[in-house]
Amino acid sequence: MSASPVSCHPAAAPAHPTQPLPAPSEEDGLPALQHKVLHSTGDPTEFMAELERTCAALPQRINADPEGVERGLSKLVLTLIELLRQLMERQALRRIERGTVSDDEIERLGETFMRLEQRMEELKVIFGLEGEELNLNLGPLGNLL
Amino acid sequence: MLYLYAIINRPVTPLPPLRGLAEQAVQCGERGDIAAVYSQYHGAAPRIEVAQLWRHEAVVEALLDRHSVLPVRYGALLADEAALTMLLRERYDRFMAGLARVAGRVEVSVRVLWPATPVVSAPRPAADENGRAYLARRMAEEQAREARLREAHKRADALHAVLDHLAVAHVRQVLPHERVLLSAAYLIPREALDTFRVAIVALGQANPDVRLLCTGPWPAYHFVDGE
Amino acid sequence: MREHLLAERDVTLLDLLDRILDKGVIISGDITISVANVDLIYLGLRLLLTSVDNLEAMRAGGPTLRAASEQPFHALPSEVDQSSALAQRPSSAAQQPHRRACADAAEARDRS
Repeated sequence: MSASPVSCHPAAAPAHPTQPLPAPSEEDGLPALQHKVLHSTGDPTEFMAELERTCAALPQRINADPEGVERGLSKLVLTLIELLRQLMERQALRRIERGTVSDDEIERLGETFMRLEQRMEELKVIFGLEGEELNLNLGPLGNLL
Repeated sequence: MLYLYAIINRPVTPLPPLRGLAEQAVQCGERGDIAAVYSQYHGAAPRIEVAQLWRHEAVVEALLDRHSVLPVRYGALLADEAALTMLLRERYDRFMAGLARVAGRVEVSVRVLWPATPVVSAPRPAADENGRAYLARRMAEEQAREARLREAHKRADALHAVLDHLAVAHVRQVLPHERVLLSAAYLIPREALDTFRVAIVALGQANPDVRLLCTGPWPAYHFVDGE
Repeated sequence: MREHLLAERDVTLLDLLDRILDKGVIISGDITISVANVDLIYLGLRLLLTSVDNLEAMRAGGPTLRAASEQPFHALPSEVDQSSALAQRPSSAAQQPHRRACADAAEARDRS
């Protein structure tokens, strides 16, 4: 789940504003692919950040180099932990709303989730991952978190 | 190995001379009323490189003029001609149905950014925050998030309704990210492209607080059978 | 002006990436896809997600356990565009065996 060889991460080629787009030339019998923007209000660059994020969530290859694999796997594991943490937390909030937990239990739940969140923050720092990176694009299901 | 670009309805005329990935000539394997468009490929799976991506896309688009086209995801390789024959045989009906769905139609992409301020987490709590206070804070955040989601759906539905009646099918996501109100793909008849563009321009004028980006026409990537 | 054109091209490229890498005919099984590794995880997560959500639906159901388990897929995540039939179709096949498993689990709970 780590960065693909070339993707739309800021450091890589495609998204770089000064990189000319090597569209196929007419000699290949292929049409030039340039004029795809049918309409845009405002500055198209406003969309760049959002589109880059979309692309960052695309299926990516696990890199062959050991460092890439480690990062990719830690990202996947942390993503799953974060998913479970958020699901449990939301479930707890729902139970509280319904009033099916005692005062004592609320205190203990809160204490636990608070510490879990702190620990997640620490792990993210250790593995050099940003919050948004701990998400997966599930295609038709939207994003995981 | 064979690199696959698209499934098309059987060409009545020969394909134009096209060069695909690695400068290989683009060929066509037929079965009944459909054909797979491919080129010879050697070596490891193609890397994700801009020039290669454009080459794949350009081949697919070169087919669009004269064929119904089911675009294949970038990077698909088949072992050999026998595998291709088997693929066309086994998926024949599904490919036929898919081709019928996209015939004479193109995909248009619409993305909408909205200015609404994202939900910001409450200020970092005091170090001695207790469990109860933590959950109360999380509860408030959760409610704000849900309210924002409801608002986004209301807004996105209104925008979508204007475009939807021009389309035969759509795929959309509401609030896939904080600033993205709507990310959608519409399958429209090719001849409706101008009408769609006019509708987008009008939509932009009627909603000056959002930013619209409309691109296309694309091959119907979002409207092929998932598998 | 030149910069504006560059931006347009970059935007177009990113839109292309979104399509060409993520959508289109997937032919796994017969062929190798360069992102096959992740496609597997993708599918696995989809199942996991559904099962967790079903679990939630069943729990939330409490006394109406059976009712919840009969239609477990009303409890899809909120991000899913419920109005889009096309968007949902690809995952339905993967969910079928699961639906049965969940119904079984619910029945087992009912009996106990």
